[in-house]
Amino acid sequence: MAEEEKQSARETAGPWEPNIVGFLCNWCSYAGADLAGTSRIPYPCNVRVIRVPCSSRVDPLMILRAFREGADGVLVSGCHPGDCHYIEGNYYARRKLIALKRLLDHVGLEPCRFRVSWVSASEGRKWAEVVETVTRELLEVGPFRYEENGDD
Amino acid sequence: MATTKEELQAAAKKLFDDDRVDYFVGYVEDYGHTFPAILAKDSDLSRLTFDRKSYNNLANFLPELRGFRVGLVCKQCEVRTLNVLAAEGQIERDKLVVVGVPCPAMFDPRKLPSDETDLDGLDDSYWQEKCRRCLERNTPFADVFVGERASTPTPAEGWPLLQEVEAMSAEERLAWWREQMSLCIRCYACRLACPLCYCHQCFVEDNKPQWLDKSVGPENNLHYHVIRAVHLAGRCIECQECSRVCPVGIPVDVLNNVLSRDFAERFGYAAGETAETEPALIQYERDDREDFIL
Repeated sequence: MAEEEKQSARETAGPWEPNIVGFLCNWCSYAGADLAGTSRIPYPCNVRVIRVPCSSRVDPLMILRAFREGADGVLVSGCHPGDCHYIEGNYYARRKLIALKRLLDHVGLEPCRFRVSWVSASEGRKWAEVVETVTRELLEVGPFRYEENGDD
Repeated sequence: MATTKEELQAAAKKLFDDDRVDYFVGYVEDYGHTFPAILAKDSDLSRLTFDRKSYNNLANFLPELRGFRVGLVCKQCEVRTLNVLAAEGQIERDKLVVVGVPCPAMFDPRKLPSDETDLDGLDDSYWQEKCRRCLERNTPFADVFVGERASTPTPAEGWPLLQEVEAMSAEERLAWWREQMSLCIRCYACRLACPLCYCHQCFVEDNKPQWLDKSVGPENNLHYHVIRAVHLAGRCIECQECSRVCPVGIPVDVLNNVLSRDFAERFGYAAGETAETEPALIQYERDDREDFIL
C-alpha cells in the first residue's frame, strides 16, 4: 500500500482504538459479559471475546499468539476463586498466569498489556468496569508492536 | 582429583561386574576435553573422569535410557534434577544407581583463560554462577559415594545478571531483551541441553495450530524463550545449562531465574529441593497471592 493510501485509511478509520482479545470462561465471565449486554450497560467495544470452558484452559501460548496476531492487549477472565465450575480450575490458572505475567513484565511489556480478572455471572457491571479500565490504560500506552521495524 | 577419578572408575567397574547396571553415565576425558558419555559393560572405563570441566547435566540422558538400569554420576545439579524427574514420574528410582561425587564447583568456560595450564590455581571468579550459590557439594542420597567429601561452602546471594537487568527501567529491559532475542538463531540447543525439556513433541514443532513461526525474529524468539520459561516454571533447578550451551551467548537462564525467585517469594517454593517436592504448577493454595488480578 502506498504511503498516501495508508494515511487516508488511517483517517477514515478514525482515531486508533486498542484491539483487546478477551479469553472468558464459559461459566462466569462469559455470562457476566452477557449480563452486561442484556442489562444495557454501555462499555467500550474493544474486546474480542473468545469463549473458553475454564480460565485454566487458557494456555500462555494462546496469549502470546494473540499478541503476534495483532492484539494490543489480552484479558483473561474467569470465576472468582472458590466458584470454579470445575472446582479448582481457576486456582491452577492463577499460578500458570502469574508465571507468564511475571515474565512479560520482566521483558519490558507494559503491565496493562496482559490482565487477569475474576468476573462472576452476576457481575455485569464489574465486567463493564474491567473493560473500561483495560481500554483506558491501553489507549494511554498505544499500539503494541514488539519488532521495531515490523511492517504494517 | 586423582583419587576421585580412580575411585570412580573402580565404582563403575564394580557396578558392571556385580551386574547392577546396564549403562553407566559419566564424564570421559579425551582430546583434552571432558564430555559426557554413556558407557556399556565393554567400554573403556579408564577414560572415566570427574573434574572441574564436567559441565553437562547428566540427568539429561535418563529419559532416553528409560527401561535400563543406569549408574549415574551425580553432582548437586543432577540431584535436584532427579528430584524433579522423580516427582514427574520420568525415572524409575529402583533402576538407578546414584554415584555421588564431591563437586569442586565447575568453571565457566566463557571465563577461562585461553591457556588452560594451571586450572587449580583459579579462584571462584572463574566459577559458574550457579556454583557460587550452591548449598551442598556432596550428593545427599548417593548409593555409592566416591572421593572425599567436599566442605560446605557459603553460598552467594542472588543472581548478579538478573539484578543488573532488573535494575533497568521497563523501556531499557524491553530494548535489552529485544537485542538479546535478535541474536537467537533458534538452534534449540537450550532445549536439548535442558534435562527437564524431555517432551517428545515440543510446542515449537506443532503444526496445527502452529504456535510459532519457524523463522527467526525478535518476537518469535522471545515468545519461544518465554514459553519455554513458563514450561519450566516451578521445575527449573537452575543448572544454567541452557545459557552455557547457547552458541550466541544469550543468558537464557535469566528468564528462569525470574520465575524461580518469584515462586520462592510467592509460594515459598524451590524446585527439586527434596524428592517429595511436587511441581509448583500442579498444586495450589486457596490463598495464593492475587496482587496481579484486576
